Amino acid sequence: MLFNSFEFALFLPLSFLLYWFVFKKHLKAQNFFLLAISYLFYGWWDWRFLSLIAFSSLVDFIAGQQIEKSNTKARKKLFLWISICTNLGFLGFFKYFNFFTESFADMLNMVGMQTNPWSLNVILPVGISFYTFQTMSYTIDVYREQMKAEKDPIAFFAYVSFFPQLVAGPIERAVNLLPQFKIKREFSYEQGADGMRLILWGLFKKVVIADNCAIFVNEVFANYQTASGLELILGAVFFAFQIYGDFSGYSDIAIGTAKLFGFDLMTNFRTPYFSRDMAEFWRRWHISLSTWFRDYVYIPLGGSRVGKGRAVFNTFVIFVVSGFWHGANWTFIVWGALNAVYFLPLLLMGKNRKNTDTVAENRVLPNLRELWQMGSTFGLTCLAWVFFRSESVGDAWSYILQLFTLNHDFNVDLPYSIYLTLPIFIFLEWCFREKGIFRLKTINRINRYTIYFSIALCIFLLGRFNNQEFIYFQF
Amino acid sequence: MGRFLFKLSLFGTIFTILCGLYIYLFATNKSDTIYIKIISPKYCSFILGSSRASQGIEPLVLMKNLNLKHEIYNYAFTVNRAVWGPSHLKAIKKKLKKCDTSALFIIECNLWSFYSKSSKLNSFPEENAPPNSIVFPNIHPNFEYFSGGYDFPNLHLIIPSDGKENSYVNELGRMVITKKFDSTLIDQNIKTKMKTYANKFNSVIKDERRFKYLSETIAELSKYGEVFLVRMPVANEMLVLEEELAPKFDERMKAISNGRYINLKYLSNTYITTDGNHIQNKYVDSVTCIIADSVNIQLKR
Repeated sequence: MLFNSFEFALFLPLSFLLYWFVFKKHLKAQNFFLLAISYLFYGWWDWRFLSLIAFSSLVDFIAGQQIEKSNTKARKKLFLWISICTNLGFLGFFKYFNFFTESFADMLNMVGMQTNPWSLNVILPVGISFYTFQTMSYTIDVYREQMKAEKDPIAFFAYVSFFPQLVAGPIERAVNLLPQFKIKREFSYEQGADGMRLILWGLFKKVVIADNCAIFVNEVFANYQTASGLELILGAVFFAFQIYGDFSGYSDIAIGTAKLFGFDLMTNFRTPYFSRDMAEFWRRWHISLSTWFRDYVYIPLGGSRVGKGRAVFNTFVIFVVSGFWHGANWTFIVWGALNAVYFLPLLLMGKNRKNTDTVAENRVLPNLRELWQMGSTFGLTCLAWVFFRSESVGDAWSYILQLFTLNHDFNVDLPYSIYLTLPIFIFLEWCFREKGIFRLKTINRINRYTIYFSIALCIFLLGRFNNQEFIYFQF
Repeated sequence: MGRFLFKLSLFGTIFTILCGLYIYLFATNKSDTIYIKIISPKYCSFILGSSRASQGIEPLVLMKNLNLKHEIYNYAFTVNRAVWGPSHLKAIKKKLKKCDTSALFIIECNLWSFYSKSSKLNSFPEENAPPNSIVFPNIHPNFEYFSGGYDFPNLHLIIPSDGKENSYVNELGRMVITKKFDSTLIDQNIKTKMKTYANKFNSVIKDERRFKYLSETIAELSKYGEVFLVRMPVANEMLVLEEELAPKFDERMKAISNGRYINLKYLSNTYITTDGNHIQNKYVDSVTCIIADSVNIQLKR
């Protein structure tokens, strides 16, 4: 079930009304209902994969309890590894099996040993990378004694499968989300209204910005061999907006939907394209994943508080693994490595925490220096997106080489709605860079409602409702 | 909770009413031909095909010359929407009022609608565009039409009229072009159009699926009346290009239509077009008369 589908437009209000009018009296009833609708939401794609998520939840539920009960470190470690191996095993089998066998066969072929790779025709379960990471964070936190093991299976299963963020994040930490399943939720007008604001803004980003950009981007990337330099530059720039609108739009709808049910999820994006350097970009882009890797991989490896060589290695590992998390393709690995290359000079010069505030804070416009910094960071990001979007590294490389041709013909149809909406989107994003959509709460009612109606009108008139999937579902 | 639901319902209701009212009052006063055709009532007889037919075949003239029992509606669209495929056939069926077996269907065959880009051979791109994408046509105001990614250049079509439009849709669906064309403008239009079609010529290949679906469309419509295929006159430059692309097109059409094929390509020198593709408004009645005469002859009336 997609957030931008007709089914979800029925599912959400029905679930909302049942949740607050029928199941509101008892915490257990609330959790049980959330679990039931989350399984329905997930089973809508393919009910067979429900067994996978149920098994993963069961293993982690038992592992968490056993870790807490164990008296010895070795026994704790054993259950932690059972949890990690189960989750990574599922992920490895469903997502990476074919990649590893094919890459291994390619390697053998390169040294002259002809082999036919044995690949499986497996379907990638939607959102597997998200929920396995979320549930792993629970067992690791219990192991580190940062939280108590959960005793209530319904609360735990509902936490793992919580439908707003189940298939594309934000990847929640157990310490933040699980305790919210332990307190009976009461409806708050403020929280509900914030939820609706986020859903409205998220839908605008997805169906107006991302899906309109997608038309142009798909055309350019499918025919890049014959496209001009100008078309290719615009293809990369529009893809930057497409993936941002798509993914941050999903996150906004997810966070907004969770608010409607009385939950607060973590922020996943904070206007990343207004970053002044790559380190700032990575503090603002897909925050739930970057902080997951920081907390569970980078810091355990020693982080940056080690020798320079080791710090470089750690940084490289974190970016490459992060790229690989996105998909079983060398393009994602190169994308990750390229971002590491962008990031490393800042780390080595000790400038990676230079821009921790918001650009042009308390000012209307940025200064020239900030403008240049934002422009160059955006340019580097777009270059890296070419690898992310291409089918293969070879395609990406050809695309980039072709990009520098002097041919500036423009023969691709660009949806005209983009001319109108993209500047408005960039303007609103600039206005929202400090407080997000909640900035609107500070302006007077007439202006506020004018903006809400305008956004709703854009969604209605210019949005594309042809059930275009969210890009991050494939991860 | 009460306050939240009340405000949310109020927002939704006001938004729906305002949009509905706006569409109802203004969306038909200008030249969004597609919308006007989609919301029209069902008809028994049709003129189908591309913009060549949409602009070039007048239903009133056909009715007068053929003494038709039922009104005939011009349900032709642009060449990228009126492509013979499953979704266009479905759209036609949704508009069809099943009267008896005395209906008449004039299907204009634009050669370019039988050719597709090789990348599009595994799909039917027209299915995402109105009228083919509309599940509930024949309703006004039609929210579905406007919510399907209404594109920016069309927005001016639903802004209150300034009385300076270059075209309108008459009550039986023909798009009437009121703009005046002098020879310089026509030359310029033909040049631009030929450049576009020359590019198209190099990038398309024959799409057999389109021929198959045209046959299916004819078979379906034949249940309700007589079906005729028509090839409209175009500018000489366009005809040369089309003959080069598909020299045996006429034979194929003749075979598909069981001989009920009215070929007006030989009139390409007689009638001047506005852009190489569409005949001028002043010739519409006489071209339609020729079609009517041919139908009369074939039906031996």
